Amino acid sequence: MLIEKLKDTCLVKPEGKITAATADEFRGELNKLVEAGSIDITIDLANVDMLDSKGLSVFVMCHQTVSAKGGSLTVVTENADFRGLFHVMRLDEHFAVLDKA
Amino acid sequence: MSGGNDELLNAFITEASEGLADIENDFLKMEENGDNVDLDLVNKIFRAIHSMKGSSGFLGLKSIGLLAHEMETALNLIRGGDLIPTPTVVETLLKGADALSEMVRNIEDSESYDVSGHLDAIKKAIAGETSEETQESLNRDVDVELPDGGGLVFMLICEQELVSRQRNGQSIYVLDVDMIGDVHDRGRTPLEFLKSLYQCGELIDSYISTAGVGGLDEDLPDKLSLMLLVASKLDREELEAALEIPQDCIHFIASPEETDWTTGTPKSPMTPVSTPVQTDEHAAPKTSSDIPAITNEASARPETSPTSTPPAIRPTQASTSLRVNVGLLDTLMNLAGELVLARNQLVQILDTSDRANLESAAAGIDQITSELQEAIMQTRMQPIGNVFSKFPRIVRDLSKSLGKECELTIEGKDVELDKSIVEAIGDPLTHLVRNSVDHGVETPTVRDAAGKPAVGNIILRAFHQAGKVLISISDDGKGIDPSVLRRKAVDKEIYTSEQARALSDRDAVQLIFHPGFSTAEEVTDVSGRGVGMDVVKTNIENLGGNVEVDTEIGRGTTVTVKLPLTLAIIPSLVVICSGDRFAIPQVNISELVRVKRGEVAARIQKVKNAEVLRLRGSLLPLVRLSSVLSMPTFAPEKPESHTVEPPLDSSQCAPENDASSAKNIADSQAERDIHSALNIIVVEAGHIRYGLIVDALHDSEEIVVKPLGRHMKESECLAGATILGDGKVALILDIAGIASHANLMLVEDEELEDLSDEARKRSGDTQPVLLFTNDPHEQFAAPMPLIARIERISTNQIDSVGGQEVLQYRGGSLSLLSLEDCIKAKPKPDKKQVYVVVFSLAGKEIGLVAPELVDIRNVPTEIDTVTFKEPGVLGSVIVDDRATRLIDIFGLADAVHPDWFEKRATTTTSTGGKPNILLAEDSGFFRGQIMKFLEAGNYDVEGCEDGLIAWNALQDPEKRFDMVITDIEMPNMNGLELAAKIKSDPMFAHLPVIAVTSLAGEEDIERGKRAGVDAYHIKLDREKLLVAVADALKEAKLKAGSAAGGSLMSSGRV
Repeated sequence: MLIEKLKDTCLVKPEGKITAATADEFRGELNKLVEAGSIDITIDLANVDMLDSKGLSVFVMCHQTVSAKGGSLTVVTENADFRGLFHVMRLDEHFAVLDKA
Repeated sequence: MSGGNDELLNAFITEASEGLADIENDFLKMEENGDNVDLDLVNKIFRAIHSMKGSSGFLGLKSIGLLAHEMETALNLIRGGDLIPTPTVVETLLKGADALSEMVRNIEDSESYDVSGHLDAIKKAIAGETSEETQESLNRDVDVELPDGGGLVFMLICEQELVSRQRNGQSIYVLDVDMIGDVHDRGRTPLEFLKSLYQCGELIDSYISTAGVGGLDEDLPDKLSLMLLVASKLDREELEAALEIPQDCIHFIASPEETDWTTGTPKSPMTPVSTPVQTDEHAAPKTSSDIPAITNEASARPETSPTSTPPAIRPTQASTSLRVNVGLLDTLMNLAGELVLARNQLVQILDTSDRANLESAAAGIDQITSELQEAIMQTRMQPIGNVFSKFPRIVRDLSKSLGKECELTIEGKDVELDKSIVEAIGDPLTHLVRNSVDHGVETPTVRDAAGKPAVGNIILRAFHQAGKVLISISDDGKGIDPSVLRRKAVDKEIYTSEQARALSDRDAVQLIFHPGFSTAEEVTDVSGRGVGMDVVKTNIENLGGNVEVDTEIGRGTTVTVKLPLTLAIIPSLVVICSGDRFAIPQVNISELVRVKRGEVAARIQKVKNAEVLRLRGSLLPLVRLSSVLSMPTFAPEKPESHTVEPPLDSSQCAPENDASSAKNIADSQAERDIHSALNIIVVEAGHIRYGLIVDALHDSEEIVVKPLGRHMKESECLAGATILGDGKVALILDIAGIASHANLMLVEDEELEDLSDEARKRSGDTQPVLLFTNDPHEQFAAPMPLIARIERISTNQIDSVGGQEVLQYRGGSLSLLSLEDCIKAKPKPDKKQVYVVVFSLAGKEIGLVAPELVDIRNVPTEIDTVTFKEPGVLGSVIVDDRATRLIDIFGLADAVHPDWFEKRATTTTSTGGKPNILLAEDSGFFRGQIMKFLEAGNYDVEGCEDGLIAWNALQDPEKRFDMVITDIEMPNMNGLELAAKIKSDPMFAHLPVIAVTSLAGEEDIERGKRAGVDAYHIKLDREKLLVAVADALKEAKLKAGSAAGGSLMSSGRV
């Protein structure tokens, strides 16, 4: 996973699958970032090829956490399936889901 | 975007483009008609726009969705007669359609397209032409509540939208799905779930409940609740099955029009859902009992209370209407007339009770009914071409986007299938055709390299076979590699590596139908590969069909879909088992066999614990229907059904009613069967063929398939139920289900596996041999791999020509050997019939006369080479406490026909010396044998006892080896490890490695190949091994000349 501190956001680029097997680790990484003070987080899914329900819940958790602290979550993905997923679950009404960063 | 290579998106583009293709003409026609609205026409346009709207919602294409929604609103009003398609209205709609086409063409930029102008224009057009009431309804929003007082779940949904969906035949549901408990824990990804949702309905609104989900510093939640407001034509049960979610997640919603809908259009215009014939009557009552919560508002659902539906119900719905040839209608009319006449006749006969006339009347009715049935079926028959016609476009588009070149050939467009099947087969076929383009056909460069024409061929064929329609999709692409699938199955933890290895190639290929299985190397944005295939399979099986894959690596793949002509009525054979009657679909039956009382013992044999039937030279596995069905759950029903038992040969009926143990019944029956004849039905399902033993056969009958009750649905042996002529129920057997219940596998696979399994299980090296005797007291063994076949002949067929025994055989002559003439052996007894074991040596055949065959065994390779030392005998081994001499068939043949084995020109190394071969073999016997004949072939050989010693020998700077021959199973370092080490060391990578084994199973070869073994040979096949060694050395020499690289190309290459 690539983590890059940008000027106004913290860019996280997970790789492979965000599924039951990896979701908790992913959650832990994000939590570390938040505890270290990053409250604006951008998750780029360019290198992610699979997302399951457990994985999705991490996005909800992340959104809850950062928005409670006054920050925001942005998800970047070009994958139309993922975008459809976020859209159907109306997660794109909770946080921004963009084509490009 | 992801390059437009996305499955959903592509499907959307295809579908939308098709829908928009002649929409222009349709709009113009609509305008021409004015207020004389042609409902068919409006419906056609409506459907196109409507499905675009639905799909765009899923894909997040908001602009398209907005515009389609507005156009749909207008069309819905036109359909309802509330809006007249004046030129102004049509003009705005046409412009809207143009905009949609434009956006679909440039789907990547569709989101930046400004549709607000179109939206306003359409709204204005509607406002200008409709009544106030209608507009009010458009602007009115309603709240959706759960039926059982579950509370408010959705707010502010446009009333008009809900109503229009119901008019369109859709029911409205709220799905309360726990994405973790209901989807994830059932092994499905959210994407799969949404895809199945997308297939069975449309999403109106949704939201995710974040309530149970904590912050990042908490544990992962075990519930992620998603609320979906969905419109679907399926009923609740079908929805449950399609989405694979628990039924209590699905809430049927009463229609909002109950309360407020006041525009004066007919109420409850929902037309009944068109479902396959056999479920209709079944599904409806069930649904009503399933939804007690809405019984007080029952009129919301016409199926449950048809009387409340006003007569002015709107009839037109493409999927519920049908175009029928007038000639056919006339035929139906005629037949109906005849039926009336026959009835009159019958009524008259009832008065006179005249037997002869009754019979003729019955015959007449019988005939008319058959004709009537046929004619009615014909009205539902549609050419498959309706589905095929969209494929050229799909293939063209997809191959273009993938940079491939494909040509699609379509055959059998006119083959007809039941309408419901034609409608349902579209999606699965599309998927298969897309797979052929995507995964089958290679890119032109790859094809070029493989020596194929750059343009890939895809052939789509439909044809009739044995009362079924077969649709095959063939490509000449790269095929499916079973070993890749096996590895994938292990990676995905579907099978352990042991299980995966035990799979036959055919079974391995079937893995692509496994849920969640994907063959694409990467499941990225082109996702849902394997997922799709399992859905394809399920969909086709739901239609009563099946799907098979045939593939050859490098040559292509053919997927064959077998479909019944119709779902409703099937010809079947009624059989009796344990007093109950069962129906077996005729399509599964290939023949009936009756084994006479006296022949039972001879024809039925036991292999391990399974019974097999010897049928025309091959073995057919047998399944006893009684033992398959004597499940405890059946027992309570038995006593009752015994009363319907027709008078049979009582000895054939199972007297046990308290069938507590199925095995007991089977055993005792098996015993009884020895003394009675057997009725065996040879059945086929897919590739599986077996014999089903039943007690008695009845008539063949055309049966109407009824679904099984819920309590029996799970039984894999039963396909359904039917009502026979006497009004009693009979269960329909599921032939494929019984096979899997009885754990049947393909016979040839089983045999193969048995051998390799056993060979593997032995700890040491073993060699399969044929045991036979010459004199009854002397036992001999011959290595199995060298045996071509075994013939049984009568001794008078043997001629003696010039002191040589010859068998006149298949128009030629076969040279025969008798052991007593070649080695020290007692002469064979005089017998009329003997066996001839035919060996294939150096391309020639020689027969060894063997009076009695004993067995085929795996014997250890620790062979005593001292006790029975003589030419023609390799050594001896103890089998079943008998000293058994292992025949050296090369030695024997060499003695008789020295001219057979050409003296090979000696191969030399590049330096001109004798080639030096390193041999690793732990069995002293084999090491000695191989060294002996290699040395005789003019090679220097250094023998090593295991891989490690061989490896150390290689390191010796004093020595130089030209090739390595290795055994596989060895202590310390086995042959595969040795090969891998050699191939990964730049010093030795150029050395050819030949593996020798007692038995080369396919998996062994595969493993060897991965380790870097160049060729595989049977240890005792001297000639082939010598040829391979010579070839390999020649090759290595050539390669040394033209620098290193590539791998060995020889006849024995793996």
